Amino acid sequence: MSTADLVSVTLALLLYAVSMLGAVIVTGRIVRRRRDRRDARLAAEARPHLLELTGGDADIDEPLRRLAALDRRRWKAVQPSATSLLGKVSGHAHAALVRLFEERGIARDALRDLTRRGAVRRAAAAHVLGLMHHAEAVPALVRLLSDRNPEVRAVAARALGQVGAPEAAGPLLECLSGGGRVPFDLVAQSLIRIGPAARPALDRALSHSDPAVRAIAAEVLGLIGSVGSVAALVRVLSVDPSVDVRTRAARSLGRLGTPACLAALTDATGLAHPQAVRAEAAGALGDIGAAGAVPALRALLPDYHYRVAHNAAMSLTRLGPPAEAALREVADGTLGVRAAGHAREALAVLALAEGRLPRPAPAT
Amino acid sequence: MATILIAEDDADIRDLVVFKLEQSGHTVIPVGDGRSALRMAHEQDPDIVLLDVMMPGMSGIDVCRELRRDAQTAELPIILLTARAQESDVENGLTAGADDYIVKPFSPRVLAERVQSVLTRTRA
Repeated sequence: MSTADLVSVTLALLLYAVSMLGAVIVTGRIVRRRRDRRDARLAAEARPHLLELTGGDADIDEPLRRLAALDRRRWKAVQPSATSLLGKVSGHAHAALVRLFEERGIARDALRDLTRRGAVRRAAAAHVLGLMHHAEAVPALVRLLSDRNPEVRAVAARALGQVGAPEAAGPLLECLSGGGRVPFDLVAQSLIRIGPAARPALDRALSHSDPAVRAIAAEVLGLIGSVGSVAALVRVLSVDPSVDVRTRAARSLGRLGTPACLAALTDATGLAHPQAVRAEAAGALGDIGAAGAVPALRALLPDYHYRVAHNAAMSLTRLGPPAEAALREVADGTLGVRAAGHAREALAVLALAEGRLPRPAPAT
Repeated sequence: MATILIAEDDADIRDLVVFKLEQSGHTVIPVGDGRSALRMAHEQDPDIVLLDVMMPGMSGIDVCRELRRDAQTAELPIILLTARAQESDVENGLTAGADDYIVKPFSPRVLAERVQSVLTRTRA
């Protein structure tokens, strides 16, 4: 065979391959489009029953019966909407959807899927069980916190927060130990969703050997408003070996805002504490909103560390007329040039917030 | 009964809210984004507006601010729909002029009651 023949045959084969590939792609698209249209039609048929089930005032038995009796194809078409709504509604609408999912055997299937080989199946099952607030799934979901797949671990952590089981708080905290098997924010969100029931585990975690666990405990106790943990957080603020943990304890004490918090945060602005802790404490004193913090914050305005003085000045903008009076006095120079600069900045912030910043003089 | 404008990009939630409010006897105008909400607020003159905070392009808070700036819509009652994780946005929303907010996940019955409550309050 000559070279020209060889080139011709190669080109013909290439053309054939490209044509076949094109035909496969076009056919695939047509099939997918038809399937999508069919699914949309099937979903549209079942959608009124779904809306009646979740938004109706009347008895839910009829829409529940109709949805529970849907054949597999129709249910597959409407299930994405049902699952999506499950995570977005509460009260009777959520209870009605959970009943539907139970009647269709979805909880049972999901519990079985938690141990499947495929990570997507395990994650999807954990997701649905979390949305259903399925309490019986908690032990299995806790086991998934050690799953080999990071996505599955993350979905399991979120699902445990959605279920809101107090017994999950300890295992969730342990996830952060030794490098963190689940992202910090995800664990924090789940602990917040569990709420005050997580407090015993969070209190214990303040003494954990891993600073990441102590840090999240300190942060979440403030976010869930655990006033009963103030004494423990005050201790953490003054003695914890990790600056990050102490900083988070300061932030939480600012959120909790009891008189004991005010005293501890005022003490934490002292020079004996690391700069980051002092700065956070100065900011947290503004969160408390107590006029009793004004003298301590005023005294911080000449501080050599910019963040400490700046946070103190910004906190003073939040403490009312006595704080504004203190800022005006310091702006006149009574505590030096550096303090006056911070005070003037804070006064400008106040003026901006109240819409009374003087207009600049027109250029001449 | 009132004319209610709902701006929500999630079709499932939008359909549910429309269903619930129509069941309560209201006329509902559904839109899927902030710009359409602004346009319909001017064209349809609704009695109340429900805005999802997180929408593509223009957020519910931006729409709220724009409605308050315009003399034609400045007095419109506005309710924000916000996800639990965005509760910090509530403060921004109320500052922007919203009358109330509803946190997702929400109960459709509670939503209908809150809408009625804001309508009653603002009509008084």
